[in-house]
Amino acid sequence: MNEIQLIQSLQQGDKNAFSFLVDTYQHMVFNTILSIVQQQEEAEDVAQEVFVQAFISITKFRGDSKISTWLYRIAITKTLDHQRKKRSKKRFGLLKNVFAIGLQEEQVADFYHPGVQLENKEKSAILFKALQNLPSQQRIAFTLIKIEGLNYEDTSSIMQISIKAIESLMHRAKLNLRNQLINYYQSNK
Amino acid sequence: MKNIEIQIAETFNSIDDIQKAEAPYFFNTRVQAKLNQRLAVTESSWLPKWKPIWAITTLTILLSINIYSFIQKKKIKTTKSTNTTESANLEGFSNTYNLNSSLAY
Repeated sequence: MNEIQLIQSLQQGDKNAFSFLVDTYQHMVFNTILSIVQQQEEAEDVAQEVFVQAFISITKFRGDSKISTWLYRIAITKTLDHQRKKRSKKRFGLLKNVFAIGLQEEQVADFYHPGVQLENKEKSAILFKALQNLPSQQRIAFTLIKIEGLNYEDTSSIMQISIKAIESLMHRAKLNLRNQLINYYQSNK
Repeated sequence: MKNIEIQIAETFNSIDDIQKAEAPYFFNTRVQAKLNQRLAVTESSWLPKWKPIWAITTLTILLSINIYSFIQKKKIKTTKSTNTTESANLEGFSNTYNLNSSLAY
C-alpha cells in the first residue's frame, strides 16, 4: 500500500488501514516521544494518543507532506502538551508540599534509553538528564537530529522553520548542554 | 580541565550509535482499544456539552422570569388596593349625604 492509497483509505475510516499505519510508524513515534518524555509508561500513553489523534484528524490532512512528517508533528505537539501538564501538576504539588509536614522531594530516576549500548549507558543518562533542562525547541531539534537520526531538511519540515533556524537551535542546544556538563563534571570531580 | 573536556566529548558521543527504541508488545491492540473507546464516547455524547455559557444563559432566563412575575404580582396588588380604597371612599360619601336612603320623595 503506497502513501496515497493509505491516506485515502484512512480518510474513508478504514480500520485495517489504520492498523497498518500503527504497525508501520509505531516505533518511530514511540522512540521520539520516549526520548523527550524519558519515561516508558508515559511515552506509551502519549504515543497511543498520537495515533488516536491521527485517526480523528486524518480528514484535515491535505497530503502536502509525508505521513511520517505529519505524525512527527502530532507526536511533538502531544509530547509538549503532556510535558506542560506534567510541569503544572508538579508546581501545584510543590505548592501543596509547602504546607505539608514531612516534606519529601520527588527524586527523578535516571533515564536509560533502551537503544544505547551497554558501555555508554551511564554517560548517556547524564546527557538525557541535561537534555531535560533545554528549552523545548532546542530539545526537539536535538532529539530529532541526534536520536532520531533525521537530517536538517526533514527536521525543518517537521518543525516548520527554516534550515538556518534549525542550525541555530542545534548550536545553542549543544552550547547549553556543554555548559551543563561542565557544571556536572566540576561538581562531581 | 582537560579531563572534563574528554568526559564531555564522551558524553556527547555516547548517543552516536543509538538504536531506536521499539514500541511495547500489543501496542497496536491498545491503540485500537483506545480509539474504539474514544469513538464510543463521541457517539454517545449527543447532548450538547454543559458549557459555562449555557449555565449563565439558563440562570439569566430564570432570573428574568422571577423578576417579571414578581413585578406583575406587585402591580396586581396595587390595582386591587386602589380599587378597595376608591369603593370605600364612595361608600363614605354616600353615607355622609345619605344617598342610600330608600325614601321616595
